[in-house]
Amino acid sequence: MARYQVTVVSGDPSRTAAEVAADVGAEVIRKMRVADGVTALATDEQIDALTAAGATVHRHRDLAEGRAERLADVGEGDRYAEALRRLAGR
Amino acid sequence: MPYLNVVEVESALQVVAGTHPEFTELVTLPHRTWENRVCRAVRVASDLATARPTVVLFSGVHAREWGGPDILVSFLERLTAAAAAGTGISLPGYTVSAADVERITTGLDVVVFPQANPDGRAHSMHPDGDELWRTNRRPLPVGGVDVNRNYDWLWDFRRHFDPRALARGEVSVSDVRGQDTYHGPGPFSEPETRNVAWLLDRHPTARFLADVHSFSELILHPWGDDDNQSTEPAQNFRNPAFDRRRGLLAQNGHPDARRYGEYLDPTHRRHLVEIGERVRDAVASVNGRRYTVQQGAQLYGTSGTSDDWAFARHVLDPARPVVYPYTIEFGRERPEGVAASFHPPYAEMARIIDEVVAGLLEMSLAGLDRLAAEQLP
Ligand SMILES: [Zn+2]
Repeated sequence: MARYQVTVVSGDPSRTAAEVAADVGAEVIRKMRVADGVTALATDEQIDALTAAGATVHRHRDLAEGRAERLADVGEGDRYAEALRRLAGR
Repeated sequence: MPYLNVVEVESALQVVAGTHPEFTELVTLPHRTWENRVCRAVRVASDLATARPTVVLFSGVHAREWGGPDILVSFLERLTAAAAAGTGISLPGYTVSAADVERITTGLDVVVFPQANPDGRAHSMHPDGDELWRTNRRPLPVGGVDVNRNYDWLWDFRRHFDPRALARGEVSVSDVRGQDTYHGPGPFSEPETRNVAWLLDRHPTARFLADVHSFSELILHPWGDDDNQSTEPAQNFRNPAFDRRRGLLAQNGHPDARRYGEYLDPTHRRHLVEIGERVRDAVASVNGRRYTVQQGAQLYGTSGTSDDWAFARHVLDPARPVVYPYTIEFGRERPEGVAASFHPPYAEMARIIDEVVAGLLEMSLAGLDRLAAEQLP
């Protein structure tokens, strides 16, 4: 199921964007700084629910974008295997 | 060089401990994770038989914050290599002399626990997993628990926090299963949280602590529930008279924000800030990145976090020494998005590793200086 990084802006002045986003189960990323709203991770279904609740949703990117490159940055195997073998043979 | 995978973090600890048995101890944590992984830590101390003031460093609590374990493994490798060779440690823009390395290993116990949530890290790094996974891997029906909301400090947030702050989403914690900040079915319900608590119990001489996270370039100190104040001791986390009043922060513009502030002893505050500033300056000397020293609540309100729990222990039991705890949020928000902000391209991470290692070395030295110069409360 695709998920997206979005900005949520509340359509109701009595409710914060974080409150509206959490209501539909979207994950609020409080550390991302955006004016007048919050960054959240949301599925298509959650985006529809947010829109239906009167919020404005800006879709920035599919979270799968660039994922292969980022995962390529993770070690394969064990770079310490040789050192461990040497220690075991000591 | 890529990020360390889960197996490599554990191997690195075994290599460090196996290479330097005369001044390191490989510690096996007592609680296996939900996926049955064993966690280990390494204690560095020139005299393993005697307990000294202790620095406790841990990371990898939030699965997607990949760089934490890499930072602590690098810290451990550099400290032990220098101690063995009788040399200093040179980072770009920051050096520790051989004499200061010796001061750390003879004056302190340094306990390093790089990978507190290996199950989560494995899931985040796996091609079939979820790269942005945050919690542990507790199975359904409960599901993942945010280990850094699971400590026994204001854990029962509905009782302790103002319902308005909770309703407005200003406190980063949840009692809804499946949410990324779900605090678990009870305080210390999770093996990962109990492992950290066990480490502190094992080292009653713990004085300094860092829980390494990403991102935002922050050095956070207590408290995390509400604005700090040092004039009204009765306003404190133990006082039930202030239940359902906490968490209305001045920065969120609440008219009632001043009704409660979390009491922080002014002497403790001074040490927390001044040690934090030395960490900040050491970090900045490496790549010029100036982290901000602030109380946790200024990022957002929280309950059940490691730093507040560790700091609260001396309040609850004055016979315990004060632990000066920090949550370090390394790295900055990146334009490529959320995932790259939590775990930047490794070339960038390598620079961050250097700066945070410098900060942690400086934390140890700042702690030693304070212990030597005055009766650190
Ligand atoms: Zn974190």
